Amino acid sequence: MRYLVLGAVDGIITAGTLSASLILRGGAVDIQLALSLSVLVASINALTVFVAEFSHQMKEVRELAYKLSLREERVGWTLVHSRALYATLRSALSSFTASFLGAVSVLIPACYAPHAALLAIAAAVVAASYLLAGESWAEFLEFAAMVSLAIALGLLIGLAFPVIT
Amino acid sequence: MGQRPPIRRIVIDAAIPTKGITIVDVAKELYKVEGVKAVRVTVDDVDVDVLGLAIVVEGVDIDYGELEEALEKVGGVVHSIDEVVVGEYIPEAGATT
Repeated sequence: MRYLVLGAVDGIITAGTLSASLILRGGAVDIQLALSLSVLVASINALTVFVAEFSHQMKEVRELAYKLSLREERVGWTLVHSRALYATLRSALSSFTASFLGAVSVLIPACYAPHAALLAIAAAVVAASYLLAGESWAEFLEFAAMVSLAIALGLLIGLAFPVIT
Repeated sequence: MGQRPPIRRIVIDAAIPTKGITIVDVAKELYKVEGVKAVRVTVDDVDVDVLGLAIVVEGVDIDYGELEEALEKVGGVVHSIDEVVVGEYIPEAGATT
């Protein structure tokens, strides 16, 4: 769940930031560019998650191995390592899917109507905040404000340093 | 004579991590070792990250080295060997005092 929401928010922010200069000026995004950008954003996010999660998991396994044997010696590949790798791959795949959907939800509407991307971003913020907060209204508002602020900052950075014009 | 003494039964004090594997994995992996006919794994100590296990393995001509390797393969370690029976049959445990 953590990587699903993280991936979706990351996809929205990154896609929004990269295409901000085009979207906010009312320019249309080409469908091929939208898909390429979404795959790119999702791949970078998934690879980042894989590297971060795998190093974290391996550190945990090393700490556990030390607690078990009280020796610093390097242990071989065990079932614990295989399961940690499997969990990491699953997290990376979840992140890729969520990130791709997050990016697509911003960029595909922008292909058809220039300002539809902003409505799509607002809908994505509501959906992501609901998933993060669950039933609590206070937490929903807190997450919505936080994600909105992050996206707004991303859009401003995208406008200040335009990539796609 | 000169042959490997046939281990019939061995009781091992071992430990595994609480995360990633279960005692079911341990029992299944140990059962794959040649000569093993039955495995019993009991949790006898629970720590935050480590489970202490009492493992009883019975069979015919069990290779202890392979047992240790099988345990390490699932991420566990042997702390000590608490009992071993070698021979043609399993004798009754005698009084120690």
